[in-house]
Amino acid sequence: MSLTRAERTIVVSMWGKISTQADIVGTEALERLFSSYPQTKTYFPHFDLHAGSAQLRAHGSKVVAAVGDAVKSIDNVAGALSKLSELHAYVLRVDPVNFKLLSHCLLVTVASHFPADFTADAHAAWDKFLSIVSRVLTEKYR
Amino acid sequence: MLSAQERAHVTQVWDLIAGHEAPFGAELLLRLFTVYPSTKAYFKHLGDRPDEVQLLSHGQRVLEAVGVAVRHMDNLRAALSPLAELHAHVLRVDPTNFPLLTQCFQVVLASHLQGEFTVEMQAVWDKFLTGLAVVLTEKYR
Repeated sequence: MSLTRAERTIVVSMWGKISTQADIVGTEALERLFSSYPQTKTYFPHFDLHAGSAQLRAHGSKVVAAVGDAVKSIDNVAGALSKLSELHAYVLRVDPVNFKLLSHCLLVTVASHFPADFTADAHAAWDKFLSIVSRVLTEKYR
Repeated sequence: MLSAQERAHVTQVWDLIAGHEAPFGAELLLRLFTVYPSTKAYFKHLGDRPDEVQLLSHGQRVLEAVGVAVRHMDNLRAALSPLAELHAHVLRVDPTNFPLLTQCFQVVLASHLQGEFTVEMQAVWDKFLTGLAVVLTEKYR
C-alpha cells in the first residue's frame, strides 16, 4: 500500500495547518485514546494520565512530532521511522491493534479542529497514511 | 450499560442531529465508502458511485434508526429487533464493518460539533454505537 500523488498532496498540505497546533492535537488525541479505550493506559503505568498533565502534553508532542517526521519523508516513511520502529518492536511492544485506535483518535481530533479541510477525501488520505505509519512501526516485531 | 450521565450526553448530541438526519447520514455514508471502499459491497443497489440523492435517502434511513436507538436506550434489543433480524437474515453485513461505520460516525460528529465533541462525548458515543452494533449482529448465530 502506498499513497497516490493526490493523497500525498492532501497529507502534506494539511500537515502545514496541523503543525501549527501540533502539541494540542497530540495531547488531545492521547486524551481521547485513554478515555475511549482505557485498556491503552496499560502501556503508560509510569505516567500521570490526568487531563492537563505535563507528561501527557510532553508525550502528545512526541507522538505528533513523529507523525511530522513521517510526513516530511512521506516517500520513505520506513526510513524516517526506523529507530521508532525498533523501539516499538524490542522495547515497547505495543500490541498492533492499538495503532488503529490511536489513528482513529488522531483523525477525530483533526476533524474537530479542521472541519473544513477534513473532507471525505482528506479523511481517506489520512487514514491510509496513518495505516502506513502503523505498519512501519509494527513491522519489526517478528 | 449507559449511566444516566452518559445517556444525557447521547441525547444532548442527538438533539443537534435531529431534523438533519439526511445530510448527516449522507456524509456518514460518503466517508464510509471513501475511506473503506470494501463496504460498498453491501450497497450494490446504490451502484459503484452513489449520487447525492441516494446518499441522502439511505443516509436518512440509517440516522433514523440511530434516532430510534437514542429514544430507546433502555431497551435497545426490543426497539431494534426488526433491524437485527434484517441484518442477520438478509443483509448479513460482516460484523467487522460496524467499527468502521462507528469510526466514520465519530468523525462526522467531530467535524460538525468541533470543540463540543469533547473527549468524554467521544467515549460515550463510542460506547453507545458499539452497543448498537452488538444488538444488530447478535442474531447472526
